[in-house]
Amino acid sequence: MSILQIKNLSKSFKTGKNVTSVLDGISLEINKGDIFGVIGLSGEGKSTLVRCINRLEQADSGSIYFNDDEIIEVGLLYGSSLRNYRKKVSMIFQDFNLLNQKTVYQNIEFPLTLGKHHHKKAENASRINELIKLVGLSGKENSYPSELSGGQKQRVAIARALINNPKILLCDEATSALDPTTAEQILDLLKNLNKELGLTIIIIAHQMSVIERICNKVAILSEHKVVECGDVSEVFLNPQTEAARKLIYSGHVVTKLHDSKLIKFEFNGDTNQPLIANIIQECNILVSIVYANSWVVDDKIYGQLMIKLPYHEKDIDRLKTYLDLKNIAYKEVESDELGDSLKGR
Amino acid sequence: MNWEILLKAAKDTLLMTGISTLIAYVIGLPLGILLYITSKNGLGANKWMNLIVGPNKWINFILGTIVNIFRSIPCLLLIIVLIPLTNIVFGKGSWSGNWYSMIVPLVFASFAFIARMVEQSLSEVNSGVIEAAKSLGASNFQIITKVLLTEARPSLISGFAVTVVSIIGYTSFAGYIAGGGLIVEAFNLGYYGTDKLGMWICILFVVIIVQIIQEGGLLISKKIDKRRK
Repeated sequence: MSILQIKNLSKSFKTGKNVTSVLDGISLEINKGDIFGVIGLSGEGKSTLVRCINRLEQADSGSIYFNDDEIIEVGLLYGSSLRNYRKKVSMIFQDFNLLNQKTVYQNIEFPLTLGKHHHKKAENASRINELIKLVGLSGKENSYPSELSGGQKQRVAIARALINNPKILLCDEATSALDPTTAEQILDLLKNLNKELGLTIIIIAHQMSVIERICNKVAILSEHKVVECGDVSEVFLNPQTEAARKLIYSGHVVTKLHDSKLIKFEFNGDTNQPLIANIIQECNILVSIVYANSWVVDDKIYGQLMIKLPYHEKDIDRLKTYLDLKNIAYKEVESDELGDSLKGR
Repeated sequence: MNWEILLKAAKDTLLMTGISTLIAYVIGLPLGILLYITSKNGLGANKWMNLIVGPNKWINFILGTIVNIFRSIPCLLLIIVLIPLTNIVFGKGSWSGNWYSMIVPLVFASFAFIARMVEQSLSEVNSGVIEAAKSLGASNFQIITKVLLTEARPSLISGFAVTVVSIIGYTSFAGYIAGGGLIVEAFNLGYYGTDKLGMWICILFVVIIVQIIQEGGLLISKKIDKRRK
């Protein structure tokens, strides 16, 4: 069931006389329980998109429908109805944005003090303490943000965002300011919250690793449009557009290899054999790996591997016979096509 | 040197400074908040809310101009210009020689200064925190009371100390409208009279008061500030 429907959303910013388009006809559908990743290079409007969802920004055209008990058109909300909607769609930020003059406990309590029922102290206290435990901050109740590490600050922000029992959690580059280990811990925490609370999460990121680790759906933004959208494993294994390939293969320098042919293997989640070791042992050929890449999606390994073809015809035949015999799919590619084949597949 | 006169002068200084500061803050604090929320970076970024409060060029310009006018008139001139108003407030002739005679000009001389100090303090609050509060469903009024004023508290308090000290400085003009206080007394003793010692004691009193307020203000500001020191 879809919880959020974005239809044809557009927004542009005016700077002086120039009008810059930031979102250009974005349409997305996010289902209940999804961890939905939105990825794109900087300046593609990812943040603006997520800020339109909770109306920190107002879109120029298009609409967003929030489906809770009834379907609400987000763009039409104002005043108290907007504030109530925001309590159901909360947000965490790259810079945490905690209240610096308040303790961890007070920060998490803050959203409750905005409502009508903040006099129910005892009830609130048990809920706050429960959340402190859930995000792993026990013992830090009375610390101030300046006494916490980045990861701890983000945990406070998460607890604060969860106190009103939101339906959707928006994460705007929530792990970008953290070191890789801490970032992974925060992502794992988000995944747990998704599982335990059934929380729908929308994650904005510019790193593939974030999407890989926890998302089940991904949308790729390029030139302010959604160029690809679907299951993470699908989009990652079979990127259709240049922009998607760029993002997925970012960091890999594609070079030309002279005078050699390559063989390419693909892993699509059901490989368990030690392929290279087998080739070496059974064909008695020394294998040279040219390119390899893999992702773990839903505990399955996806990826591709390219090896250089052996020099002697005899060895090539032996290798091909072996691969045919073992029913292993492969593809022969020219080295000049290395770049294209990586893209094309 | 007469201790009775000296103590009365000290009391007069404290009273006129204290009460003027209080009234000036009653006007200056909301004005400062208005200046902040109508400024370009104020509480906005939302079409619907902007209809009520939020960046508003015209309101900001008008308020800013009023503040600038009062800040550009020297205190001494303000005292003279405002004598008719002082007459209306306290009754013609009845305020001469009393400490409260300075309240009207002091308030007018300082509320604009306070407004700017408050605006400055509020603009130091991280805009991300305001955004976070908005995203959690805070209304603009709640953002002012629960985010802006609490997050800016240390800065507001150190600004308060600076304000009080400059108001004490303004009380030196009290002599012109027959008000009293330590600085006027020092003038009377040392310039019109020959009691140099009395003058120095008056000055010492002023120095001590300023020292206590300035350092005390800074100390409290630091003590309550929970950001990394």
